[in-house]
Amino acid sequence: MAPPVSRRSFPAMSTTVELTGVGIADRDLDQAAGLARLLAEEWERRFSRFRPESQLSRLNAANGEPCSADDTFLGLLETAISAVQRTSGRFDPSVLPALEALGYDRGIDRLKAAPPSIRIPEPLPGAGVSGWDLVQIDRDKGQVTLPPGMRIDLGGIAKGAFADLLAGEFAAWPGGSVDVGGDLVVWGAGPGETCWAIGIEDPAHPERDALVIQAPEASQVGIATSGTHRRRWRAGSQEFHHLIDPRTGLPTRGGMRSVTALAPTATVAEIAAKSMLIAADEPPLSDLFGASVAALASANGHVELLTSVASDNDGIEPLTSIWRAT
Amino acid sequence: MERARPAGSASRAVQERAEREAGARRALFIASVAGLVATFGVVAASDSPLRAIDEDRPPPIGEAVSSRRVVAEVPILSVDGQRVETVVHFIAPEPGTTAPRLRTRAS
Repeated sequence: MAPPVSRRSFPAMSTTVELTGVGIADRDLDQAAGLARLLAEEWERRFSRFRPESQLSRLNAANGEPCSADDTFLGLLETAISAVQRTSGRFDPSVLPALEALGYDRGIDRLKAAPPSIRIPEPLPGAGVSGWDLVQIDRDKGQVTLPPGMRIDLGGIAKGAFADLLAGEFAAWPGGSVDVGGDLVVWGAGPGETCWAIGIEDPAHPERDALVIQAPEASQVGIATSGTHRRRWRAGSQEFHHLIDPRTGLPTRGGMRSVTALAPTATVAEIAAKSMLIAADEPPLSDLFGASVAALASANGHVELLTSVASDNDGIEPLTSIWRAT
Repeated sequence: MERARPAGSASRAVQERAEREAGARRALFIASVAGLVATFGVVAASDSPLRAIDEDRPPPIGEAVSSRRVVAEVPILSVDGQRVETVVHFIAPEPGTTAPRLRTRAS
């Protein structure tokens, strides 16, 4: 007999968090959802840029002065800094001023409901790798100092990391999944016969799937998607999306509409997906930062799978295209 | 498995306890994040090389998907990059088939 499958969801981080438990009693899932809500509230008190009292908002307002932060905040910030360096700045959370200059200085629902009146700004690129080199983290004092003028948004990576956090909390379940606004972690037994099936949204037709991922009883798989077709808003006669190219300070104009990455964690998958989307008009990145595969959906309807390849030496092999369809 | 409490009915003491319990687990989470940072840039190395699926080759994943086209199978490595954690299949959905409830999407 198939194990019971139950789900609980709640709003958080301007999206929906959903827990799926396989082989878990309803009462236990209720309790798990209660803990997840508590942790989500903690997460937002750290990482929300829309809460003036959050650790992130206080850091962004510090303008070059040291700011206190807890270990979890500092840990994710260190992860972000590593990602900036390893992606040569393609992943860059310091694009926040550029994002706000385009009007995205409030929740997306409010932004869509009341389009901002803005003057199209001069490009405000991110700080670049050199700017991030100036960030100082003092773990002993629990302090971080950004260079004057640097302000950051950890929203995307924070969602992936929150999915990983919950997956760690509930890893003892026979099987389960965490969905934080489309950033996923699945582990253990799936709700089907023995597997997990996860659709990859087709950005051209969001009601459909471009592909379906099928994972057998897995230890853990993290999946994240970045796309230009959501979090869009109008300002005057122009339409913008939220994925800013750090080199120009404007929404990326590459040919990809979405990138989905698979990795052991949703955090890595999030970094890989966003970096590849930002750099879609450039030669492929030399590797996927620990992610194993990425599915690219282009503006003209192509879907392509790229993956890392085996290497017998220390050299980095280029990504390999293993499947492509129109 | 440790038991969590619903937020709505939890007293302050219960909430504080839940947060203390969570704090210990978060320390492990931070350590695991630090571990994955170390794996950035490591090219996937696998004993079982990935491959696109040949049309003539039957899908190796059972009856549940035999009516769909498996286009690729890809290993997912462990966080330390040292072993294949699992192998996933990519399937081209066909009209009329039931879409998975779980979806990854841009957010």
